Amino acid sequence: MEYGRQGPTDTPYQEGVFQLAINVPEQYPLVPPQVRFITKIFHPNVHFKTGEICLDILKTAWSPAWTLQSVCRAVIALLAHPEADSPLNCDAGNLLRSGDNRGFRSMSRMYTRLCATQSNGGQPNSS
Amino acid sequence: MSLEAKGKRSASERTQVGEGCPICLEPVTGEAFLDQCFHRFCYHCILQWSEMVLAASLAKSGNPKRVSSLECPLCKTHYTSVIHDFVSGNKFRRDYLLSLDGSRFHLSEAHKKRQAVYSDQQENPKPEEEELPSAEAEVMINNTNRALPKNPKFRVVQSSRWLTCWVRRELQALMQEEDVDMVTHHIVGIVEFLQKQAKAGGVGRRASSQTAYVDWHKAVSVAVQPFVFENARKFAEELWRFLASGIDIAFYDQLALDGSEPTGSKRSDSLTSDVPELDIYDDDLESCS
Repeated sequence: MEYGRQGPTDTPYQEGVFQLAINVPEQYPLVPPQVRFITKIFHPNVHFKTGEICLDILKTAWSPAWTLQSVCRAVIALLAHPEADSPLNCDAGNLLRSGDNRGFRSMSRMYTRLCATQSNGGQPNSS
Repeated sequence: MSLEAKGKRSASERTQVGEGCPICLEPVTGEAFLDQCFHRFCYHCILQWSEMVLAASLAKSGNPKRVSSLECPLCKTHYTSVIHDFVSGNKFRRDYLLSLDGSRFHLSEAHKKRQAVYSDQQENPKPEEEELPSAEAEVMINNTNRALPKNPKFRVVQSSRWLTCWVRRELQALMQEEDVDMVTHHIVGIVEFLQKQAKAGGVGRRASSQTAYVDWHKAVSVAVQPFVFENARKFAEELWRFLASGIDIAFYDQLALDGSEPTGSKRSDSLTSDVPELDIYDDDLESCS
């Protein structure tokens, strides 16, 4: 399953539309869905190459009361609140940890424009 | 984490509206509640989830004694048991998944037999057993007639080393709770106090063993009422019968079992008629065991 979603406002991602690949295992909701970014994104908790997401609720803190909708909300919230202390993308994490917010914002905005805007192949809606 | 709090809130809002089981999102089948937060789930959903968490943490730690805690999927409150088959405030079943020390608590066969003694009675409830204070005295006497042995000697002054043991097991069976030490202590204390009291004023009171029994029965039922609810009277009756018999637990169980087999529901009558005959052995038993 794929899900296209606009980046949250007031973040470097707001201009982009990001595609998520959501794989729902047979045992769902006893096990979490596998979620990753298809669209490239520069974010400390998302692997730059594979799109893997580092989010506790998708792993150890999963609860069967979560729904696909709440998972997507959590991913969007993660975009707005990057967690620099558990980085999958060390470059993004290091920028934030060293306090270079401006550098982080401009990098992530650049990648959003390059990879996640409509003119550059981003899809506006789920398919 | 803030994300988690956010998700939790929306999830609990959903259940408050009563939309169904938060796990399968369908109407709840086999209503079950967690013991601490009372969040509602399908019985099979929450059981499946609990089993899975337990299996996962067992696989991780490799030690069944060190199984981590179970958390409510909605609010993360720790729970150790699931309440289901909820009929009324007092009647329900409780599945223990985890006890405080991490091992599981299961009711033994003996516990289950004791539970059966009480459920037999509930299947044909007597209308007079409604909580009507005015009718209470009369009911007591009715019960007394049934419970007193043919030789109405008030034997309760006799103490039994098995008292604590018996009370604990009975409470465990009725409360479906492993840790009943506090309540056991409380009940045993009251019974011992009553025994002392009866001993002290024994000479005068023994004249009317009927009244003495009614008083004793009432005191014990009132004491145990907050813990075992509608089973309080039966509890007092059974406890008295046990103490009056003066036999140990194993023998008592055997007797109760033998009594129930041939006559079925008339079990209590056959038991009471058996008990007084055993009184002869009391002193022997106490001195030798």
